[in-house]
Amino acid sequence: MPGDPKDNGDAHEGLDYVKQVRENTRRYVEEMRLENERLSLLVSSLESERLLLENRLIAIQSELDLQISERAKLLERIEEVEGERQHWARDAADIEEQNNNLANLYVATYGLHGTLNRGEVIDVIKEIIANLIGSEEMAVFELDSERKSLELLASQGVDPARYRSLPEGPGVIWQAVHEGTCYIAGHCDWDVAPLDHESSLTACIPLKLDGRVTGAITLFRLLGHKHGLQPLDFELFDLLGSQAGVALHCTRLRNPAPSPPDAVLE
Amino acid sequence: MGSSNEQKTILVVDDSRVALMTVEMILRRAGRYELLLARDGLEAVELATTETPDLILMDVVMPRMTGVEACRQLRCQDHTRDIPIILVTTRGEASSVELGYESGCNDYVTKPINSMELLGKVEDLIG
Repeated sequence: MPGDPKDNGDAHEGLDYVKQVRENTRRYVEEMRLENERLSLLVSSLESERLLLENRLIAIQSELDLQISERAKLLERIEEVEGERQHWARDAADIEEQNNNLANLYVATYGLHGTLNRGEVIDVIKEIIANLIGSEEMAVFELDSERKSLELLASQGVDPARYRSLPEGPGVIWQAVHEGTCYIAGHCDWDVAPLDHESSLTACIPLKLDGRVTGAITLFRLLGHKHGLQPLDFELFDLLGSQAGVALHCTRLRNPAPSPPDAVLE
Repeated sequence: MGSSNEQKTILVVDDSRVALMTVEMILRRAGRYELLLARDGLEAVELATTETPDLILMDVVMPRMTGVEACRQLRCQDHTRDIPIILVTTRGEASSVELGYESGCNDYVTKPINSMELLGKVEDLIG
């Protein structure tokens, strides 16, 4: 019944319970609200950081791409410079070789025309062949037009008796003398076979004076360590052909008396 | 011997005027060597004793005293014993090369001379 104290007690309990529940719920909601706020702030912060990192990553990637591009350009440039360096090194080596060849030609010319002594000129011819070309087997001949023979003036490394006098005849030496052209083994397609005493001939150089052949220089075997003739050797052959004859002729101007035919200089 | 900052002195020995002039031109073109010249082994020993060059370039086959004999003699003398010697010669056979090294030479160059090879060996020994 209304106003019953027992009912009032129950109602108070119920009310307290509801109040309690309401309070708890209110507290819970508040906690949740605070938690949400906290999480929202955290999300916001993480989002900002993510954006920052993303931007940094983009920047680093861009920098990396630039560096990769720079590196590729540098490698390309290094290759270009290395190619240029090798090109200049080859040019420098070529120029040095040309300078060296010119120096050798100068030395040969200076030596031939630096004396009017016949013996010394012949020594120079032998020294040019030994030191600049590379052969120690040679013979120097003078053409005797009357006897139609090549008379030995000097020799080295070959039997002088075998070459003392070469009468006009077949063979590459006389072919060279007749034609006034240098014979070089392996470089001439003459239709002439070397004779026995010409079997080891490397070159026969006609000596000329005013276009006339006055003698010849013959080179036989090259030094063992010399592997074939070089471009300079051909130039030295030309020089000997044109200058040695003149030099020998000039020694006669100084000493008009002809050398005895037996005075072969070794 | 000269210091590393001064020009080095090289004694060139050869009885051939052509060979002497050739080596002289190669070394003078390098622009950093002073040269002494001798015409045989005996003269080479005398000059090396009085002048004490930094290096000797020496032919082998020479009158009065060969390059090999001169090399041996120089190696026996106190103040020439350590002078580097390069033998420059037409003798390129293995036996000749071996004989040269046995006499005490430091290196060996065959003729006809390659200027780059010669300068390289000179620089290796004395800079």
